[in-house]
Amino acid sequence: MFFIRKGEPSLTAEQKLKEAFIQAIGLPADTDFSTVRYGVTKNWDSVAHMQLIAEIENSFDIMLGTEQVIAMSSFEKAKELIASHGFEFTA
Amino acid sequence: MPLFRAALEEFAASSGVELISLRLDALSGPPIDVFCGAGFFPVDLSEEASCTRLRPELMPKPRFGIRTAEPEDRPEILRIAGSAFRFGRYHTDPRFPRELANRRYVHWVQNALASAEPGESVFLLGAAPQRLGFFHVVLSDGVADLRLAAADPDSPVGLGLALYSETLFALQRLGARRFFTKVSAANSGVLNLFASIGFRFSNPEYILHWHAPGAPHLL
Repeated sequence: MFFIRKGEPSLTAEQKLKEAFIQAIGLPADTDFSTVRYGVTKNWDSVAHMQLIAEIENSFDIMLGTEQVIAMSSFEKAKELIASHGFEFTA
Repeated sequence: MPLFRAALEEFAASSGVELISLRLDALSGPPIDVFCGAGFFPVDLSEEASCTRLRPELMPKPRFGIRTAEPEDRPEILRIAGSAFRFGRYHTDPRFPRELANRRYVHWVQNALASAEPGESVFLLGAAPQRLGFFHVVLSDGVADLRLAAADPDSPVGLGLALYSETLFALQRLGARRFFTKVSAANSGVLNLFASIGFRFSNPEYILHWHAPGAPHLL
């Protein structure tokens, strides 16, 4: 869980996305997110997937299309899809 | 017990039956060992999952859409039915050929698509031409019997929750007030799914199989 105090810089897009994955799938904060994939990462089932979509839409204030919901099969793919909504992810 | 086993074998020899399936009430039925002593063995434990009030706050918002299957959807529905299932008594019976177990679900859906029974439907998840999963249901007197469902196993992510929740909303619009189904206790994915949207579980049943000696079609 991130706590942001007044005057502190807001979360980066990458931090927000990690937080969405942590909340929806129950990942530990020290997860190597580059390895997070549907079908490989424990607890990422269809229930967690729809929670993840809702978390991302709330955090980024965006609406994902159905093709994007289906394509979001890894953390890296999620970055790519969210970047298409105008968010920047640093390398 | 030897008499029971002998009677089963005599019945199988005279009728050509290779497999006998039996459901036993797990809470108040006869002890399972009575049947195991005659050669039956457990292949599954099923639970009834039911819900009398949908709780939209627990369900994802509908986004894919649900529609009734059309003739042009048939090949894709049969492909999903023939490849999506991993649980159920025929899939968990180690001597039952997987190909036959898969074919059973293909026949199931073929029959469902051909049925003209009132209240019986095969729904599809996704706006045409998307076919993300199917749901065979029977709606009668406000009670929705959720017979068989499968999301496309070739999808990059699981869409089971979307399929179930959007079908339930559609059935509610059609007048369903109670929803029930049977689920395999081995299928923790679907148990978690039903639990997440407020279904309750009851009426556990052991499912036992008995194989005829020398059954030619069993492994």
